[in-house]
Amino acid sequence: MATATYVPIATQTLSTAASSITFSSIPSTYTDLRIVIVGTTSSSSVNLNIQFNGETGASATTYSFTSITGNGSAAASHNATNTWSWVPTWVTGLQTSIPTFYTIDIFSYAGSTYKTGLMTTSTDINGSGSVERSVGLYRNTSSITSLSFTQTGSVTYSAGTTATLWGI
Amino acid sequence: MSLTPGIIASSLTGHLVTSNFFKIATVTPTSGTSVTFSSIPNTYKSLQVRFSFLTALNGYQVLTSFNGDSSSDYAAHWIYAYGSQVAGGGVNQPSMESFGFVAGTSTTYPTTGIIDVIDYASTSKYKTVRTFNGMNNNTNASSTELVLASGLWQSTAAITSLTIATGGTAFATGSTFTLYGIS
Repeated sequence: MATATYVPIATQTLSTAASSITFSSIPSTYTDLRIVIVGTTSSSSVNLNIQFNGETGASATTYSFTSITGNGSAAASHNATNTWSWVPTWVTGLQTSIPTFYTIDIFSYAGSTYKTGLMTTSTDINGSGSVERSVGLYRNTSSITSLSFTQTGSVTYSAGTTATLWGI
Repeated sequence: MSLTPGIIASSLTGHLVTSNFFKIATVTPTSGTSVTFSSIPNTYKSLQVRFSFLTALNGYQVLTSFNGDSSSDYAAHWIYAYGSQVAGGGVNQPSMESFGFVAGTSTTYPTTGIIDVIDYASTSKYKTVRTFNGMNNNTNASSTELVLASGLWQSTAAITSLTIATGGTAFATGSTFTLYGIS
């Protein structure tokens, strides 16, 4: 008998603006993690920054990612190496009123290898927008036990932003 | 386990369990150049394979075949980013379905991906596949790749086995392939 799996570990809908959203104490009992976020921010065209295991700020250099993007007229690729977060939003960015839709899949998150993730970003703001797909690398062999979506400066995620963590 | 409303959401007990996504089998190869899921039941609507694998050498493709078929019944098209460039491509009638040149991998940097096979149990339709996979090795070189692909298997037979092969190099410890059924 196959095992049913695709379990919502935790869901959060912000009741007030917050500078970060963190899932902590993630159990190691799944194979992969999936996070779905639909959100807005206090400023337009800002990044969604993804960090793991309590790392905060811009001091880390253990992240890298590659993205393929379409902005309505052209396709492009973007790279970042030795950076401090995964950034699945490269072109349009989070907006103040129109939600951006993200999925983040993190594979073998509890294993002892470096961690690789696949990310999707969908943004349409009625006149511009982008579709983005990204692969990220986290050069750390520790299990991922927490993950955070952070902002810089005074930018906050707006009330109503929803994030759900799934175990697969 | 702590939960701070508004800022932090921790793992919760008493989860809701969705009822339509089932783990069928997991394979964790430490050697060999292919993995096969066989005796796949026909009781689901779609299949999904999720993988994170390591191999001994860079530059190998991910190849997928069904039911042991090595004839020219496959086709695939893809768009991919490598380094700072974007390109597309395709291939018709290969002996195995190629999902792009994704496996630029090594024993350090996992290649990950998701393969969806729609209506796999149908006995009246050709089988359509989509994939999303990639590898990043913290460089701007072309060995870092991200691939979106579609695939076709021109057979009306129900899929009962699925093979994923690297095209040459061996899998290494730390590789995981899991087959799921979606009802």
